[in-house]
Amino acid sequence: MLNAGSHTFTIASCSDELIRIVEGVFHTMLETPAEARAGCLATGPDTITAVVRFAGAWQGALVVQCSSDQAKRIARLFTGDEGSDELEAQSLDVLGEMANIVAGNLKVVLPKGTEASLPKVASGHQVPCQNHASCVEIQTQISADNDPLSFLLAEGQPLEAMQLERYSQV
Amino acid sequence: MNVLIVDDSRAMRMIVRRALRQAGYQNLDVQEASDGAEALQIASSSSPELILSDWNMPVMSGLQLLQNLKDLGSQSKFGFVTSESTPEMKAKAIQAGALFLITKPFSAESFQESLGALFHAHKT
Repeated sequence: MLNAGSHTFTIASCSDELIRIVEGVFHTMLETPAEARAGCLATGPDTITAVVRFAGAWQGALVVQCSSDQAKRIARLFTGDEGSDELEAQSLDVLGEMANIVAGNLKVVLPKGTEASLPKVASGHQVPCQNHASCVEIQTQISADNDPLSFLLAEGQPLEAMQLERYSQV
Repeated sequence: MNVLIVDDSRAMRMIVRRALRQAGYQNLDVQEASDGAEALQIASSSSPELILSDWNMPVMSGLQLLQNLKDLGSQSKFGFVTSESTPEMKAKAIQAGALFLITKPFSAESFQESLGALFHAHKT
């Protein structure tokens, strides 16, 4: 266990903060109320994955995942841009930026001296964490009939075994 | 007012532009840069009155950009728009000469709070 400022850090203690941050991002930047809850996303070939790695005092990663259709919906809400020509590229950019925002806000509860990387975005079937003792995962939806969006905070290097370079990295 | 928005995310640059409009700052001459090095080039040639910069970017970070601008004697007013806002970062930003730090996620009101006095002074 590491000391994160005035309290002892455990990954499980981040769950409520992760929910609060994700709901805040949806409310403030997407102007969409979203309720986040614990959950696990079923990934597939259509899944888009954005990753911010943490290094230094604490090592881990924030992994944001959703379907490509959901990523496009979020990009439309985020930018207000309906331009179909650029929507696909924009959706990858937006998912990466969403990972960046959530990871940056999480730093307040991570052990002091933890640094966040720039986001990387890839497409394809990926299962970032199967050891649920070392990760917390929450899900949210823009509306009940949409696919979920998953935010997973994992300790260690959850993507090393996934050969991220196999996928079309952006 | 001539404003330079610096962020490696094109989508985020669009959102900052929109937030400025929603905050009531309509008639701005806005330029964009995707990292600190590009911003430094633009700032050297066009001397923007206000620079709104991300912190964590490839090639040159926002903090390095600010330090380089100060070394060059730039008079541009500078604020960070960033997802990280630990007390240590805020202290570093202010110490380096930033006037404010807007934390992502932000609203138009976040911009009004940080820029209100700046734009008021610009008008008078």
